[in-house]
Amino acid sequence: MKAEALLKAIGGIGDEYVDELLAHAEKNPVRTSGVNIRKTLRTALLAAVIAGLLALLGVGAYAMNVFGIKDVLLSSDREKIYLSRQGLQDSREFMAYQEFMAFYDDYVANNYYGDQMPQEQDEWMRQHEGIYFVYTQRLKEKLLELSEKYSLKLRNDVYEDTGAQWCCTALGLEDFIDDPRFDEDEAAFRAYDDGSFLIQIGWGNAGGEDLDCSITRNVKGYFSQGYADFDTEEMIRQWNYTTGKGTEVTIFWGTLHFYIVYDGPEAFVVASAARWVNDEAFSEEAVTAIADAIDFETLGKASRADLGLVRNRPKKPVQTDAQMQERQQLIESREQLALGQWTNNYDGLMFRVDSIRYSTNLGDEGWQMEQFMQDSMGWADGVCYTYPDWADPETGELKEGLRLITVALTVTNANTRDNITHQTMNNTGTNNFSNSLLFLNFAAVSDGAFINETKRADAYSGENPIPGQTSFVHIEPGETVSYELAYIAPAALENMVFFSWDACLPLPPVK
Amino acid sequence: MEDERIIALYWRRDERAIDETDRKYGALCSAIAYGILESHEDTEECVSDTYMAAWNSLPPQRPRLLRAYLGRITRNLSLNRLRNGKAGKRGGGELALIYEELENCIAAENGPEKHLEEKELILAVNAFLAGLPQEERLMFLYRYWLAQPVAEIGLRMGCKPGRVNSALYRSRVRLRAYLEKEGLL
Repeated sequence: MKAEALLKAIGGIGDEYVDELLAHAEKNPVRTSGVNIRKTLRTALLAAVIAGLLALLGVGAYAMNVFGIKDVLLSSDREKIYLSRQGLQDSREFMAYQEFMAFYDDYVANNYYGDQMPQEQDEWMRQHEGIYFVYTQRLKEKLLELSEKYSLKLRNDVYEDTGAQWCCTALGLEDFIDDPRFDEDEAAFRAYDDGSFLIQIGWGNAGGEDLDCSITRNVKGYFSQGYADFDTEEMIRQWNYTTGKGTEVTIFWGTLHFYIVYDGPEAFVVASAARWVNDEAFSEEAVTAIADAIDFETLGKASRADLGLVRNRPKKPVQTDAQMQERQQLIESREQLALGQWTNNYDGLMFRVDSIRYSTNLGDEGWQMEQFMQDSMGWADGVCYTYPDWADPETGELKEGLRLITVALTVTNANTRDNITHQTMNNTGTNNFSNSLLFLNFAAVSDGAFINETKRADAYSGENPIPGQTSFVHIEPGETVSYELAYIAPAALENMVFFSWDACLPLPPVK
Repeated sequence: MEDERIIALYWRRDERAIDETDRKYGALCSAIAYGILESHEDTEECVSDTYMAAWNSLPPQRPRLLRAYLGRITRNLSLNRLRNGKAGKRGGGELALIYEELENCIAAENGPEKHLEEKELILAVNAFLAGLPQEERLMFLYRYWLAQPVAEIGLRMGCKPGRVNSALYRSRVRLRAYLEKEGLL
């Protein structure tokens, strides 16, 4: 045996040992070039970038302001330059988000100011999930404070889907992209009730290459989040450009990113893309081809949003075969169980599935609504019902098209010593094990829509230390416990799989 | 940001996942890569490659321990870079010493060398680590997983380099004895 083989084997040791080591390394940093090299290097790179920019522009230190980067610059650090998707720097929308970003960075850098993490999501946070990126009370309060300070309204609804035409329908827009290379059906979008949107589009052979582009339109007068960025290493060129439709936009063009901006009368519009795979810059032809294809002027004007027009529409399958194949590969990569019994090599837990029962009423299996996670959801006939809308709160009867799956488990902690260092996801203490590692997966075409969901248990029959989030089971070494997990799932599907990281168990057919 | 939320960003294909990963684990990944490559430029490239690998593998992967997951990717990429001769300036010094230490630890005294299945060896190393006291295990892994110099390990562990050297020597002797006992040497 060679040292190479042994070194390779040491590289394959269990995650618990790697994590133990890296946790110790983080807590005990050594101030040497090896540890701090990134900061040193980045500082040097930042200086080089600025010098490069100035050299490129051929002017003095104030050139950036003259040429407009300052007008959209939210912030920068050693690694990134963050540019606005909200508006120009003197706008209320820009200032509000810039202040929120600064607060967020400081909050995270200072260990959440000692706030408990994770936190239970209150009703406002649940309603605004997917609209605003806030997951603690303090972040929520900051967002509300800033929206009031800058007299900005808040969005209250969001709809996500694919198909650019549906985005237009929801927001009362004419087609805003005129280019046959733009794959309209594949475009994924998120539309808000104020008329704002984010859309991710694939562009085939734009200026000689394929690329993915994001377009955001943020309606003025509303609080919005999100930014575009450049690496500090990038050489950035910037110029004003008149599109094929006669609209003047500003283009920022770097090695790895581009950013096209239009400040309309009612909305601020940005098209951007990031290069992930090769080191060559986007071609100028690709960037201007995209600028030419987008109707910035239309997007900069007001429009009437009605998300209800598209929310409950029938959906068509998208790349169903490929998605089903991908999902199948995921399942096949795990050991298929014949008897429903396996050992979790990582945590040293032995699982046995004692029974899997189907029902349509919470009470039939002894569950109560209060036991369910508040982020639980059920998907039936293309509609996603969130807690508690998936059941009648009085009778416990599930909405038509949904069913309750109750999985009875017996789990033995086969370890001979306390589990302290393993720190399974969200482990909060010695010999606590998270149920978030036991999943239900279902994939099928239902009512014309492709569904591929992997979900954690929606309810746990034991105690729940953090209600509404993640449940834990406390099992002493050598101890065996039995408990149940419940999942809300579509009634029509047969090909469901119950699985953990180590193994999976296909569910029996409905009788 | 908590790991679960970072992983959720990857699963939603949200580019903030990369930023948050870098914010939380960038320094750690850089330290791992630099310990092996000893080159600023190679370290930067290796850390970028780590993020790319994470972006491409999450989903379908959903690691339980993001720190360990990223650390493992960085280590493997760094070693691959060395093996494939892509590293601009071979970070040879420390790694050459480490190879020598391990070579001495497992050199066959009699008979031909055994060729083992990698899985078999990993299982044996895992079992060996489980039997080590935590302090010795950390020193062993600082040296042979992170490729850290002995002096740095001493600083991290709050002891003198001589003590680290002694502990590493003991661990190597134990490892050899364990592998022999298991019939792997």
